Formats: sequence, structure tokens, C-alpha cells
Amino acid sequence: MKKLLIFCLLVPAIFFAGEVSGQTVRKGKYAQRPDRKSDFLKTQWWLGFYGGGNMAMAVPGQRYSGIQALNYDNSINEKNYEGYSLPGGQAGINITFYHRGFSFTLAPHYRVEKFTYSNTYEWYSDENELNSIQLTYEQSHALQYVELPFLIRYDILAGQFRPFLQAGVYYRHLLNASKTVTTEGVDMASGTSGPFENEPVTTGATDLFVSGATGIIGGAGCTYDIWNVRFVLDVSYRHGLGNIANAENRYSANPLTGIGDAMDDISLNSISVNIGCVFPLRFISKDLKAID
Amino acid sequence: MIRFTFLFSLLAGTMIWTGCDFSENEADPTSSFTRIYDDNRFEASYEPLDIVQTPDGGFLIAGSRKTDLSDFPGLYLVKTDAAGNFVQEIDYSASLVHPLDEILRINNNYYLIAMDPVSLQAVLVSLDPSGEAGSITPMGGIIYPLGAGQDGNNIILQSFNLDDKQTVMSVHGVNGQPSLVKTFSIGPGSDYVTPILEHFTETGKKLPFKAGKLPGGLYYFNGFYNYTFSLVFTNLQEDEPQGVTQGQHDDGGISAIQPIQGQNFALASFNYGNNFIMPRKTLNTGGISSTVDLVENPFPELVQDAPIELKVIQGQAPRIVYGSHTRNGQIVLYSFSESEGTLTGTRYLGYSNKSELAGFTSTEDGGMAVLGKTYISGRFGRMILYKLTAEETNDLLN
Repeated sequence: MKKLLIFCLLVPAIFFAGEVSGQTVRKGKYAQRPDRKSDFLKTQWWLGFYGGGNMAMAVPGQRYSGIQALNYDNSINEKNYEGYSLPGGQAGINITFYHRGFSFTLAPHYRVEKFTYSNTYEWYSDENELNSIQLTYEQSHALQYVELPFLIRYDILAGQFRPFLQAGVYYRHLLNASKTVTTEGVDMASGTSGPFENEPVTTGATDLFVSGATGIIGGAGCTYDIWNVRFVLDVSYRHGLGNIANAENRYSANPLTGIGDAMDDISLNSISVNIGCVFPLRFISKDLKAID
Repeated sequence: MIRFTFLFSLLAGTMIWTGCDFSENEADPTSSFTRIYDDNRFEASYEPLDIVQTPDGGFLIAGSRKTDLSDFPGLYLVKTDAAGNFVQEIDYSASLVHPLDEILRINNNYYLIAMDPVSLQAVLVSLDPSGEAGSITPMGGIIYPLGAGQDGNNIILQSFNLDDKQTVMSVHGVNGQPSLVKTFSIGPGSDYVTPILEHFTETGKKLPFKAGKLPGGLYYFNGFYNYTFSLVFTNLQEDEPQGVTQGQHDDGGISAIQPIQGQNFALASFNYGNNFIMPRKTLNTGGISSTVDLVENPFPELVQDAPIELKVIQGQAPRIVYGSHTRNGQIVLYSFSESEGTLTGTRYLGYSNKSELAGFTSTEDGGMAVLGKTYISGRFGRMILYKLTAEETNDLLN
């Protein structure tokens, strides 16, 4: 973790260091170039910050359950995943190198993604078919990550308003995870419907997930320039690659195995919406704005 | 562009340096799991008794079920694969009742003692490792079996003679026939008949009846003798026992016993609801003593008069492992050094729904399988199986 934080600090430092040295080296070149504005429009460094919200969906692979059915079909015990139902969020910094319509972006950030699933179990009376109990465990998960995405963006149009397409990859490191279980049901054992709901229980779940995860990103957005500030709005889809459930700790680190819970193999996909702004790192002056 | 390439290479190198975790995310499904064996019938209730690992790596689970067919719980067996997945069941509840809580392994075969629901005679049930139904052998007319133990290829059985109000100790071969039988009076009157019968029908306190033999020495039984729930040592030759460790009527006594060496034992006792664990204790096997004098190491976290399982498991050195369940509804395992009697580890299992211990066994991969009962939704009694990894077991034992 400490290494990752150092890394997050180091990356912008590398960029800035490169920028400072670049300006120093190129002073002579620009002295020979009368058209600084034209050169500026071709190549630029941007730094800014952004934030937004996301909705995630867990996609199950291999299924697991702590419940083994003795007299009914095990498939009834499979979890039901509810996609894009809980809001998450993200915030971070944006470091972009722009060159002739293409932008190369590193956007290290902190993000929270949430997903939920539920299990429903039913018990029936042999003696009185009206007697039954239905029990539903709804389990929501909140995963906190530090994520390092690398994106390549292409501006479809040039000018003050610039729509763009982007694609990239990410690596994320799990900081913390929690799991909240809500138990609710309908007790008809007394011959009438008696709904009940227990208090939610929240437990730590960091060990239930792998610490590192990767994925790919695709999206679109637009920028709008006002003075030296470029405002950015984008929507992106993240597709998780690989299983984020920790196979080794599926049972041993899960305090909720006592209610039959066991994490499936899952990949996590999400849709994010971000707004932010970036500032040019070169040639900020009264005479030359970022974009005309 | 050269600068960008340089920076990107630097970034890739830094990512490796920062230790991006792309480690393998796979696990052996047999090394660790939790399984709750559920029945969707509202009235169904299961009482787990004991577990053994079979040669195929799977598990054979003995339990009992309450049915309308008898006042006594019926024998019920479950066979699982090595990952704890349900393979098949054998429901003997219509024909065999009151199974004892000990699966015996004799010559690589498994046996369990149960009772005929009509004649009340003890029968030896052969358990097929594959989960198929085995043979049922009468045990020489012995009735009301209470506790079983093993001496090599022989089966030691404690039972109850209701007519004569006697505790009966007998030694049987796997053919069921008794080679030794000795009776001991529980005392005139019917004061202690009721708790014994309630033990059979599971309508009262479940008493820790045991039977066994000291290595190369006396036989012992933990049961009623002379008005008291006592640990009795006998050579099964003389009418009077050689030694007696008396309890307190049926309110106190030994709850678990494991001979270690000579007159040293690992013991647990109960006394009016309190529980005491004594991993290394010297008992007078040739005279009369009382469990009141043995009291030490109270374990107030355990339920009242806690049922306790006790086994020797090999860690870095032999360990005495006690298993029971706590007042807050968890299974607990305590490991003690056999030579020193010092605590080497504790492990709790279960959360949310209440869990109670039934039995445990070490597994061929160095782990442990822990069998218990849980109450789904706080009401449906079901069997639960925890498989601990070798690493977790090592943490407990060492």
C-alpha cells in the first residue's frame, strides 16, 4: 500500500519533472520558432482534477454456496445479482499529454464501487401447506480502491467544444471492503402472513476480495474550454478482467458462512460519469490562452 | 514523442516496482469450506453426532432425525465428497433409533451403534464408506445402548437395564456377540431412571455417557453408578469397581475423558451448570474420589453443562483438543499441549446463526473437519460442516 501511494505521488512528479526539463531544453527551439501559438495547439500537457459517480454490476462466473440441499435442487440457492443498483463514487487527478488530436491520460483516483446480491430460501410444512417461511438475505458490498487508469482519447472535433472517444486499461488496488446483510422474510407459520426484517449487520470483507484487479475502459465525453480552463464531462464503462473474489478466503475469512454465504467468482463492471477540469501546463499567459 | 515513450516505460517499471498484485487466485475446493445441509421441510430437524473422513477424501456424517414414527430420534447418515458436497443420504429413522455419538473404525470399516425401536436392543450398524447401506448386526440382546468405545478390534458398550436398574458394561466383537458382560447397580428406586429415559427421548438433559479402556488396563464407563453420575473403573471381572470418581447426582460429573498415560487423563467436568477443563490430571483409578476435588480452569463462556468432545490430534507434538459451544452461539476448539497441559490455541466457528459442536476429526491434508448443528433463521436445526485448512489447523494446534 505504501508503495502504491508513493507511486501515485511519483507519477505526477515524473510528468512535471519531464515538463520542466522539456521547457528548459526547448527554450532555444522556440526562440527559433516564431509561431509559438501553432506549436501550442499541437502539443500540450494538462493537469486537473475530477470526480463523479458510478454504478457497478457483479457478473458471476463459477457459483458457490454454503448451503447444500438435501431434498431440493441446489440451483434454487443461487444468488440473484442486482446490477447497477447502488451508487458509488470516485475522485482523483488527471494528467494528460495532448498531441495532434490524441490525448494520453493517467487519472489516479480513489473510487468506491458497490454491488448487491440476494438469496431467498423457503421452508414448507408437510403437514399444513399454508405454513411456510420465506427468508431473504440481501447482501450489499462496498469496495474501496485506488485505481490507476491509462486512457487514450481521440478528439473528434477541434475547437472550444470537443467531443471525444476514449479507451484504456486500469489497475486497481483494494483498500477496504465491507459487507452489509439485511435479513427479511415472511413468516406464515402461524397461518397468516407475518413479514419481518432484522437489523442490518455490517462486517469487514477486505479478505474476501483480491487486492489487485485489472480491466479495460471504453467511453466518450466532451470538453469545453473557457479561458485557460478545460472542463471535461465523460461517461465510461469499465469491464473487469478476472475474478475479484479471493478464492482462498472464500470460506475461511467469511464470517457469514454461518448463514450459508460464499462468494461466487465474480468480475466487476461499472459505468462511471465524471466531471472535472484541467489546466494547461505550458504558455499560460495573457497573450496566449489554452485554446483560441 | 521520445519523452512520452520514456515516461511510459518508466510508468510500466514503476507499476511493477509498486507490486501490482496479479498473483494466482485459485484454491483447492477441498481445503476449506463450510456446508449447511438444508432440508426445506418445515418440521425437519437434524442432530449431527459424529464425522469421519473416508478413503476417497469425502466424509461420512452420522446424525439423527426426530420423526413421528418413534419417541426416539432415528439414525440418519450423509455421505459427502471431499469438498463437502452432498452425495447421498441413508435415512434409517424408521428402523433404527438412538444412534450413539461415536463412529468406530475397526479394520478400515466403520461402525455405529444404534437401537431397534421395537425390541430396544442394541445393534451394530456397518457404515459403508461410499455411503451405501451396510449390515445391521444385533448385539447379543443388550438393550438401551448409552455409550461406546473401542479396544482394538473390540467394541466396548455401556447400556442400561431398565428392569433391574443397572448399568451394563459389555465387550463385543464386530459379529455383535458379547465376550464380557458386567452389571453395576444405579441404586434402588427410580430417581435416576427418569434422566436416563429422557436422555434417550431427548426430552431432558443430554448426559455424557462414555465407555472405554485404559491402554492395557482397566475398562471405564461414565454413567450412573450407586445414585451418582460417576466415572467408574472396572476390570469387568469383579462385581465391585476398582475405582470411582463420583459426580453430583446427575448435576455434576465428568463430561469428557481421554486417557493419556498411566493415571494421567485429559478431562472435562460439569458441576451445576459450570464447566471445567483439565487437560492433564491424575485420577485415582483404584479408589474413590470426587469430581468436586478435580475442579480447576472454569470455562464460563461455555453453555451450561456443556457437551464436550475431546480428542488427541497430532500437531508439532500431540495436542489435546477440546470442542464445545459457547453461550453466544459459536463452536469453540481449544488445543492444549499433551505433555504440559498448556493452552496452545483457540478457534471459534460460526457467526450470525447459532452453532453447536457435534464432533471433529483431523483430515488427511493436515486440516480438520468440524461437524456441528446450526439453526437457520434461528429455528431450523441443520447439520453444518466446517473444513479448516492445514494452515488454520496448525494455527490452532501450535
